[in-house]
Amino acid sequence: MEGTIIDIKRFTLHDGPGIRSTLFLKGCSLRCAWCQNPEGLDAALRLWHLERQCIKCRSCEATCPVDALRVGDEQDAFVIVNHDRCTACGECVEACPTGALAFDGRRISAAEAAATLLRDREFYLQSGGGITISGGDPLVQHEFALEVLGACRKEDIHTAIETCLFGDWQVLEGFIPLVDLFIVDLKIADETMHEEYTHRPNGQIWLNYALLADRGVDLLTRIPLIPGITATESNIHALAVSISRTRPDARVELMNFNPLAVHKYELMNRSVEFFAGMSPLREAEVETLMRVVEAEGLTVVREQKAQRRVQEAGR
Amino acid sequence: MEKIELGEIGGLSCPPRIGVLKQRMLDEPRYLSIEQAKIVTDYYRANPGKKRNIQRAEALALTLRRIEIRIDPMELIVGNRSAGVRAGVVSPEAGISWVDAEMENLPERPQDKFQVRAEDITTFRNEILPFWKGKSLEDMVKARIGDEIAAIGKVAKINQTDHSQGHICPDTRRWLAIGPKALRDELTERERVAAPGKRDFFRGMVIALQGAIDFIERYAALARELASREAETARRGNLEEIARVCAKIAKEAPSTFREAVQSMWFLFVLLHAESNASSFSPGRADQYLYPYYRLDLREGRLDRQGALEIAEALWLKFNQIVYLRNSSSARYFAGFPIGFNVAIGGLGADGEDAANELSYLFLKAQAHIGLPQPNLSARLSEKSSEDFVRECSRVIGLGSGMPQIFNDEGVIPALMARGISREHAIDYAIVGCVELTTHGNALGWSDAAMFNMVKALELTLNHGDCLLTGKRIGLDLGSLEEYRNYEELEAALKAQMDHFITRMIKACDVVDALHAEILPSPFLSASIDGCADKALDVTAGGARYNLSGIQAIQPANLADSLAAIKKCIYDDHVFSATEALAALRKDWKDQERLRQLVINKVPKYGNDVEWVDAIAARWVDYFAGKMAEFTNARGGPYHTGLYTVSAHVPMGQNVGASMDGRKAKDPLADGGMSAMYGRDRNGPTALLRSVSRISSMEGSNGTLLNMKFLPEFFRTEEGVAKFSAFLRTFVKLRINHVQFNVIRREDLLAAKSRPQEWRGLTVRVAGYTAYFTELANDLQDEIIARTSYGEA
Ligand code: SF4
Ligand code: SF4
Repeated sequence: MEGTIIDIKRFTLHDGPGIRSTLFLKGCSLRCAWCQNPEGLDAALRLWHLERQCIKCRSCEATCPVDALRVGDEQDAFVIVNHDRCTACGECVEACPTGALAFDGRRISAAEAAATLLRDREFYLQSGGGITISGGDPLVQHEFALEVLGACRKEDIHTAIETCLFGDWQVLEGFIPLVDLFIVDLKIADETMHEEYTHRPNGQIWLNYALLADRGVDLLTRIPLIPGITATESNIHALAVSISRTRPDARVELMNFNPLAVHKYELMNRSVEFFAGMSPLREAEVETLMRVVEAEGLTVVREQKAQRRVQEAGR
Repeated sequence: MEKIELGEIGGLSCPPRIGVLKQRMLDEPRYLSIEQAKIVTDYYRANPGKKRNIQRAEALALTLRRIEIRIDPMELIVGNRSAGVRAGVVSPEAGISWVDAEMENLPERPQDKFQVRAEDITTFRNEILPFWKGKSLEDMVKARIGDEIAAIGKVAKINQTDHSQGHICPDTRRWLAIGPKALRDELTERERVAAPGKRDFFRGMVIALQGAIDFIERYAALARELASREAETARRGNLEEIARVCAKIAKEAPSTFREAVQSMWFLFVLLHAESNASSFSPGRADQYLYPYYRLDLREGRLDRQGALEIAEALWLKFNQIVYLRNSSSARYFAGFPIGFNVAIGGLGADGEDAANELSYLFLKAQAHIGLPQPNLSARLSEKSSEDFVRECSRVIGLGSGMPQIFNDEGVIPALMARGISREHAIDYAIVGCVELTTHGNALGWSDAAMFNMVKALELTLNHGDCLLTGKRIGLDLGSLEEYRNYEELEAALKAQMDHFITRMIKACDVVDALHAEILPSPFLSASIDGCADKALDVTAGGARYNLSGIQAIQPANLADSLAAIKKCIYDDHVFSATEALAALRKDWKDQERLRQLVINKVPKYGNDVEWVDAIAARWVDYFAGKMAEFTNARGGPYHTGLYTVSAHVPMGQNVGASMDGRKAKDPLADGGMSAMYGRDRNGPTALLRSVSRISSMEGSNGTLLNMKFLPEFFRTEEGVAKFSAFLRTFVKLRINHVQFNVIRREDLLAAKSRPQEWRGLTVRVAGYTAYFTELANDLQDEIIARTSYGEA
């Protein structure tokens, strides 16, 4: 079957052990105000115009069958996309020589996705790495995700998924036989606040967390540190208490806030107001929170700073 | 093999003495030196009519007896071929016309500057230059074949026309095992029993060796004298030790680690004094110095800290001899690469991992010194220990670009395919930058010429006319507009390449033979296995192995260009041949849309796209196949190298606009195996997979792959472990070589100001990856700021 993905990144280093490749799926059930991967929210393809790459050659002009492009007659951008009209047919993308017009993802068959993920199998074998499905959230396009995981499993490759756990247990349960490591993101302990910032309640998430923990799967729990929201001592404490009650031996990773996604919001014409004045926590603040977690008997995994930002410089 | 005390080596510190010596060396200005040129010229003037090898030997011996020598009382290892450090030594026999032309410019030229004393200019012009007019290698090459070399120069650049042949790994093992006196006596005996016609050959070697013995004894005498005047006890003790060591190894074989290192260093000073050539390689020093090291430790004469100090003293010495190149050559080989290439680790004769404690000690020295020399190379194999791979990874992470990594799994079979025995192939070393050689028994002539395949394609697309000048310099086989299909184009390209290859080989043969005529090298011949047995000078084919290497440049640009032509013109009809040729002729002017199309819509070499990689692989195969058809002037095979060092810049300047979207005169892809900069966008694993499709068997002269990593990667043990796994996969993929630039803040700044060259630079955020150059300015600043923060 086909799925809609943001991309497949090779040589990812922080989505599980070893050297990995990560498939980023489109579509997510939550709407976290701080989302770092906004192009993963919506499962549908969306057209982007990257002004910096546009050479104003007008090759895209008159390619659109539904008249969704305005070329060269606005001040602020050379090409303006009318997203309400755009059907994502791809005509203009095809015509654009520079990639200035591009979708925020692509359609791909599960077989092709798996084949791409498996290309680096030598590296996985040497490093104890493998493949990870992230997003968005893999539970949204779960059938596609399962097909890809199945294909990789057949090749004896270590598999991981990164999920926010919002979804039917039956869906999540279906992943258990095909996944070696579950990386799960927990955000806010308080139910009202959770709903306020993610647009969803967290009851189902905790239930899934408990059920998953109960099955004895390999689990890594991540908490994004959003200044003033998730990164408060009270929230971290409350999360830690619940986590340790569910899985006393849990490994927890605190992910410091990273403002780099902001420019994507700009590209997508989303408001960046939320991020105003927000900056990553200082080392000492992170450590305070780590101690809060440790106080509940949990193991804190140090976030690999190196591996969080990039790694490879290609050239 | 004895247990490796990793913990103890890890705790060793950089001795204060080394820091002082290092600073002193770097503070001393670099001068042009004509001292040897004067001695040699006076000798030749007084001794006309003698046989050339005798002249060479006597001139060398005279130099060794007369040249000013110096000892720093703090030095542990002494010896240099000039009194000043890092002097640019003028070598008249090889070529000085260019020195005359460029003398005044040396202090100001953009690359590799030297100070010049006014009185030296006068002496040079009045006494040295006139004598050598028409007699030096440079002038003879010009007279015999200069026009042809110029005519083919844009496609095939012929090297070795104005300096002696280097890129040699001498038989240091034997030099250490028997010592200079026994070597001299053996050659004296051979002279006695030789056929009359061969006696002079041995005579030359004996003369050179006697000069060598005298030279080392001069150091003993100087040290003794300095010691007698030295009031400070520690320094006096050191000078007395220098005197003792030098007096011994001037004749005898060394028996301690310090003696062995000192003896080995003199061998290299002597080789440079004779040849003034680029690169004599110590090769597998961790192997042949190990017995001395181990014995000293066992006998309690030396501890590891003391051994490290000696190694680091040697490391400094490697930086004291630089190589004077003409300004064009300095652009091709920027930054004085003199190629003291030390190869550590790798397989031993028994086929097992041979890394020993000295291998680690040398890595430690590298981590402490971090200077351009030695060119430290680590040999890895599937049998390398995890400790060794990790330690290499850690030192790479420090950012000196070393050790560079060689792969026994690829290199050994490639050398065997050139007729080298398994015993010698397994003992390979590296000369120069990345060139492969056997140990102590080869004249590899590894930089015979560089063949610009991208230029050959340019001429093939355009009636043999140069796009830059309009002049017809190649065969007119038609043009892009006339080839009816892709196959016809490829056939024409083959014919064009064949044409230039034939002319190139002829020119190389002439240059090679002139070296034998003008620059026989008696001391070197005594240091290379095979010469004495064959009674032949090394320049005339005396070595056991005689190869010639030609570099095929650059597979990435050739493959990308052909892929664009194939896909856009012949397969998908995106644009016509006429449009394309017009765009190339106008250097893409007003054709940005077309240029962007070929850049963005055609897959590129280096991205793990099989069909494009296959084009690169096929042309390398073709080129290597052609090389196999030729035999060089010394009776050995030609073979192929895939590296440019810094030559991708000047070679790019010779090439007009190319169909990969490159503009006229822009640099070609760097390295040799690398993708075009900014065009590999699938990360390092994809790049390695692409590179591995070019057969490692063909690059037997040496290959070069550059990669860049961020320093943060190495900051955690987990990162180091992943990098080690990356190296192990590289070994599995049988790629012969890779080296790493660990990217720093300055590079990020460069990426910001010249984004087009840095498009492959990715930054990864939790959950998403972005290309650095596509980030907004303030975000780039943010990353730059954080990176430098992280480095503190
Ligand atoms: S993707 Fe299709 S519908 Fe959307 S703007 Fe481009 S051409 Fe129009
Ligand atoms: S085709 Fe692409 S580059 Fe050309 S004007 Fe349209 S968006 Fe810009």
